[in-house]
Amino acid sequence: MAESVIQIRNLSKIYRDFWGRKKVRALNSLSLDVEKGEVFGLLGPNGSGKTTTLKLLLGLLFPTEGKITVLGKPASNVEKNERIGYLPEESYLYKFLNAEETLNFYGQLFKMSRVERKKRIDELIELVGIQHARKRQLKEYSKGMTRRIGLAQALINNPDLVMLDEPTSGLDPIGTREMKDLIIQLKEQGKTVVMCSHLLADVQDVCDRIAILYGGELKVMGEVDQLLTEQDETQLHTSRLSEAAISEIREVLARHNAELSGVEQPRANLEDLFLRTVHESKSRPGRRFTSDEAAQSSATTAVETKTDDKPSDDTPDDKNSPAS
Amino acid sequence: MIPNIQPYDLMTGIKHWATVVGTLTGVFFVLAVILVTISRVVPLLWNALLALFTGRPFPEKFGERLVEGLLAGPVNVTKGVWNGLLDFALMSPRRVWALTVLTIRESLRRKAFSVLVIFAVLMMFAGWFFAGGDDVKVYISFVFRVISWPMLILVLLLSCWGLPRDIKDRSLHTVVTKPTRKSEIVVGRLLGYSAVTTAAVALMAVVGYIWIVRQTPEDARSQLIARVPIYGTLTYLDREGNFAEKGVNVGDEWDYRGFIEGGTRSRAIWEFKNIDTRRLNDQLVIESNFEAKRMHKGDIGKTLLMQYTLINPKSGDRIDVPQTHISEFGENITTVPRQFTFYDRDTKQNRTVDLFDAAIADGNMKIEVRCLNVGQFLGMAEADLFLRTPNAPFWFAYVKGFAGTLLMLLLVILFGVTASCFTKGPVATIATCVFVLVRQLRPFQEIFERILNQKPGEEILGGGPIEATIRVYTHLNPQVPMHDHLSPTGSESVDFLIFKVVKQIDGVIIEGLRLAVNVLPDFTQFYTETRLANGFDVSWDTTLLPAVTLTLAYIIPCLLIAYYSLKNRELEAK
Repeated sequence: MAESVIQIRNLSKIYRDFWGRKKVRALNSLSLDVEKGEVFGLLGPNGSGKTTTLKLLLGLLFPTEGKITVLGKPASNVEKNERIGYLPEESYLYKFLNAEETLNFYGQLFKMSRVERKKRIDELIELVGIQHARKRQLKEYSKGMTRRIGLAQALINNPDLVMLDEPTSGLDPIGTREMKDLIIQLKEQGKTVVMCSHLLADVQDVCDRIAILYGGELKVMGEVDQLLTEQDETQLHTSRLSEAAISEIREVLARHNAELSGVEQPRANLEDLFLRTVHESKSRPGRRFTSDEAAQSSATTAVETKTDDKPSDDTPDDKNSPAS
Repeated sequence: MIPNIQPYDLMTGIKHWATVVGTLTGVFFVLAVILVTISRVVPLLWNALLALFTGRPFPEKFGERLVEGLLAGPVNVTKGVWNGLLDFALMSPRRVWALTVLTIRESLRRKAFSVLVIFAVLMMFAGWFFAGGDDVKVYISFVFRVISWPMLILVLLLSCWGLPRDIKDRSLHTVVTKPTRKSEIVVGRLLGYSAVTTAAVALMAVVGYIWIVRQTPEDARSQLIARVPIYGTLTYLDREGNFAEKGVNVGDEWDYRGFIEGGTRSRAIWEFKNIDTRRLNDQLVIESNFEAKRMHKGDIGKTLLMQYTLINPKSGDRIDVPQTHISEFGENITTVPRQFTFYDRDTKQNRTVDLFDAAIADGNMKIEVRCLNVGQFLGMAEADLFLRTPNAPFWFAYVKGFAGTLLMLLLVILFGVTASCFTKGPVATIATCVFVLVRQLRPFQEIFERILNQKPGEEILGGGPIEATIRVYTHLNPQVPMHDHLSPTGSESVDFLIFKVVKQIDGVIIEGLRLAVNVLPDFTQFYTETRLANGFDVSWDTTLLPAVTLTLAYIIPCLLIAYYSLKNRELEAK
């Protein structure tokens, strides 16, 4: 059985007012385990209790009931933080420091030698791509840059357990992709990642297991692949088919008491299109989208629509890529 | 203000320190135990009561849970205190340093040093405003005030608003999710603010010193001195020659000075202890400043006449110093050489003695002062006569003077950071101001003085707060016993009981106030400015040691309060 990095048992949290009167029950009898080396996603709408769970794990809040163990120690134990990295929902950093000072400050809070710290700072600044702004005070940073430096501070100690609260919030699609790549990279390095988000596509892309909270209660938990597989349907991916071929398939399916519910050409997602455009713009900096090109683009679409039933050799590659 | 002149030895310092530390930690320990017990026991008892009267189910394992609840207070609080001490013991110097540097950077980048601009502007205007004056006192007082007041506001703002802003901006969240102990956060903040304050005060003090020296005209530079006095304790003899605790009151409302009557056996006697003759430079310099009270015009062309007599307390030898006319509006400085010839009244001939052998025995000596004009009075307080040793360098006294100011600012930082650990910026500022000011305000001072001066078994005139209220309401003189003149019920035994209860409650309140007097800091201990402005050295034993003791006394209780406040606070509480 895999080693549990986080154990939550019967965890409840009630927020109270100044007089101790109950204001809201943010969590109700939550029990879950996060195993070593997995990427675990906490999902839920706003107010479902996912950030509360994360803050309870970090000792920023105290549980009303229940028990939490993180890396084998209670949540209130500060020594466990030696092996934890935390990226808050907003990057709550000292705005009067620059990137280097910020990382140096957080690095000093860990058992790291000066040389090791300096090396790590350089690595992280490069990793998150803010080399050009390393001497600039954080108050001059954009939201995306603040997220990047926030991520760098979370990784300063090369943690075994990384907790990310809405990691892609405030990032542009490139940043989002980089963040997702980084999470996968962390997993490959054997680290455990716990993230909470309400951006479902992001979670789906990177998480091994997810838990869905609603109203402070755990509603669903399991492996992403298992949870998302439609057991009653089968999906086939082929090269482009003619109408005749599709009719034949329909007949074959009918013989097996199955029905063809839809035939369509897969489409790339917007993220892929965006990233490709940015990538091309970098390689061809002078190129612009002109009105002629726009007209040509719509004309091409029209032709494609007309010749819809004829296979074409010049179909763009991405049209053949499997739908996600 | 009456200066404190009696040396404050190390033992007294330690005793004072222990009193403050003990009182504060004791009070908070008891409060914590009570709170924990209440939080455990009261809901249980309430549920049990509800069960009895409403038919709800009676709490399970009631007895067991009640015992547990009653024990929870002392057990949990003791455990908490132990954990707290452990947290401080396990502090990492590296993390404390990181937090200290962060605090310094924060203060600098948030323009804390703009206080220097205010200082510079004030100094520029002062140079123009005071130009040509030759009263050094004014310059010294001005420099001290122009530095300490803006700095006081600055340290209040820094210390009271720093942590609450961190909590509000949630930048502290990123710190506490690292392996940072709460004790390190508190100590890091304290050290950071202390470093900024020390640097600012040092810088301003250097500029202030140059300003004082440049501003003082050449002929007034002699006023820039730091006299090093040796003080004695004062007692009086009345006109019959009997011991008297106080001198005669000539009708002054301010009974700071006691008076001796001229031409009688009335005397003022100063007793000096532990005189180190090596410090006296082969002479005895006696400086005094007496108030003359003429009961008749007398010889208007001459000031009153007085005489010092040096007395060896061991042998009883008396050495008369020649009579001198006092300076009625200034200091009298009498220099007696070590080899001294005087007229011995016993042998009725001149005698030459080594003063240090003849008058001083084991470092002890008495000086007797008498007024020689019949029917005239001389007034004196303990600080009005002292032996002078060679002057200390003025710059050194000036530095020590600012050490007192700095200690005061550090204490304010300590209170500010402590308050900011459990409350928001504005409330922390008000709480710190109250804590700093409450003993300094005159009405409170009077109450505290009465309580402090109360002798064992003695009742305070007019009684405690409840008795005083009754007396005000019934227009009853504070001198007369309450039970002799008031009878609220008509029954003697019931009235007696009521008065007894009132006295008991008052007793408890007064004991509480006595506790408060011990706990509330007396900031007058830090006022070194008057001493320096009056041309005295700022000595370690009379001024700096009490100030250091006072500051140190609050460190442990404040650190513990700050630590527990931060530890038991949910930083993310909604």
